[in-house]
Amino acid sequence: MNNHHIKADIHLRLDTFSLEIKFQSSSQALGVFGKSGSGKTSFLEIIAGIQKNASGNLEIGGTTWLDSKSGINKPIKERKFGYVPQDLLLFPHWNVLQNLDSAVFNTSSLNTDYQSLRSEIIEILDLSDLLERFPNQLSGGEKQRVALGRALCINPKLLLLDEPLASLDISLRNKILPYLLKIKETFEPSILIVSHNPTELLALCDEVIAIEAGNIIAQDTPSKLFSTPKVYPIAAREGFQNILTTALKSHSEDNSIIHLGKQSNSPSLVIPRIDERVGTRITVGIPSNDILVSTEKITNISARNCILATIKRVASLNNKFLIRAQVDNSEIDPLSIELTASAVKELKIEPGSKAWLIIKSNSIKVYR
Amino acid sequence: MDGISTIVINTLLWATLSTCLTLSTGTAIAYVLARYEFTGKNALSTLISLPLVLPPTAVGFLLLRLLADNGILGRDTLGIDLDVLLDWKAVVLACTIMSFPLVVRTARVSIEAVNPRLEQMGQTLGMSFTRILLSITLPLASRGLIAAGILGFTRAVGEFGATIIVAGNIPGRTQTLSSAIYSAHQSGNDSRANTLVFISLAIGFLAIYLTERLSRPFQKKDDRS
Repeated sequence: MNNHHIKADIHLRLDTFSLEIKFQSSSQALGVFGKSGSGKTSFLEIIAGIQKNASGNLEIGGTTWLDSKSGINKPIKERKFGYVPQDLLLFPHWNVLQNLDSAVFNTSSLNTDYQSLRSEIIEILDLSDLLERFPNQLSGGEKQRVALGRALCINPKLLLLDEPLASLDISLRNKILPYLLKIKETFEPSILIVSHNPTELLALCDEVIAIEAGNIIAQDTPSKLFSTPKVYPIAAREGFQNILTTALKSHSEDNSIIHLGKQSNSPSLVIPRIDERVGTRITVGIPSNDILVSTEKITNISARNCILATIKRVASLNNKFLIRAQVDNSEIDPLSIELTASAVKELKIEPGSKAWLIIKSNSIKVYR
Repeated sequence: MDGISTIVINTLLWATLSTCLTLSTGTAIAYVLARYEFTGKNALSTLISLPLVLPPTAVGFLLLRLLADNGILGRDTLGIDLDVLLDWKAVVLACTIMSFPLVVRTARVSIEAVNPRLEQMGQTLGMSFTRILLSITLPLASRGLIAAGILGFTRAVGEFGATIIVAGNIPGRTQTLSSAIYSAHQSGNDSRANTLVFISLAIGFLAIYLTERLSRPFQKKDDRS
């Protein structure tokens, strides 16, 4: 058991179904995946203590927060978690700095620990130019960062994020995700993130549980969980992407190149040009239906990436197939690729066979 | 124009006292009505609103029965004489009862308009109930609360029916602007009535003007969203 340990056995009667959640996890960043109406926000609200009617048992980091049998239900204000709900709930009558300081009773005498924590948060989330502004003078992405900053200012052991990127448009999402990754590395809180978007869970989480109609249907590492036939179809509706985090190898004139492994014969991947130092950790997303598969190496082709992989698994999904391919000599998780049934049949794709994966550099999304 | 300044000062003083009473207790009751569910909530809300629909003279009469020597709050029951009737205290009491529904209703709407989830957010940040109330709920409802106060004040300044029954119309003692206008009119002193009406107009205009100013949306400058 570590600081990130969470153990839950929770019941809550909702309008159309019952939430029955039982699991434990010791991952730093735990994701809860499900489509809207699956009960995932209610689950988060039980952890926050906002859902009063829940029963069962909840242990966070070795402390009991809820135990209906012995009548324990830790009051919200004693739970000490950072909460970023979907509607953010910034205090409209306070400027950004006052919002950050809202947990502090007496702002005229701040202790030095708090001041240095706050400065670090302001720096990491790029808030220094916003401090005097009021919430209605901020853009969506700025509000999101302020809400994150306010949650971090109480130095929480646990950070609860409810659909942190849902209210943002695609371009803004790509801007917030790097901040979440930085928070995870810098402050090392336990993170519980609820989302219907697989991308952010793949990029951020060490483990994910999938919920459907109030019940857990799977619990695994994100890459494995999202490639199971049970979960993939739900994820595919949101545009499923394979997420890789790896180091930047070099730059060419109009592209950048990332490592897929540390060996000398490890392949690399050509991605859109980014302005970061060589060696920086980069998170990229490759949509599962933007990967072409060939049984022979194709040379004269405009796509910049043609890499050899071994098929690990072929799973049928209605009239399609989801295959998992491990890039040879790489250290990345197997890639999930969506293919039609006829393509799988004609190319004779089966576990153990070799295949060339063809990926256009421009279809790769760079998150940092 | 003897006594006009006394009348104006007394009226404003009593209306101010009544506003302090209605605003403090009214906001507390409005908060409870806005934020909690309990049995008898509708009954309480209806009871508070009654003075709004009853003839003011009926309210005055009820108060008179209540405070008469043999009433529930009278000398014979309590054992002490509160000495309210036909005194300035009776004016304040009548004004308070009559303006109470307006204040509670306006305050309740303004508190209900504050998103209760902001209060929950305050709890997750470790704030105490008092701190959430004083630094989040009431400041966010403040415009509505000030408007409630002004409405209550103007209602108190204009109060006539209930006041005249419990406090009478005694010049220099319980006479207010509205009862003085009535007396001036009854005695045919039109110029005195004119002056008093003009003063009432000025007070009313100022109050409504302030309310309008305050009912503008919160935080207008440089709104990007």
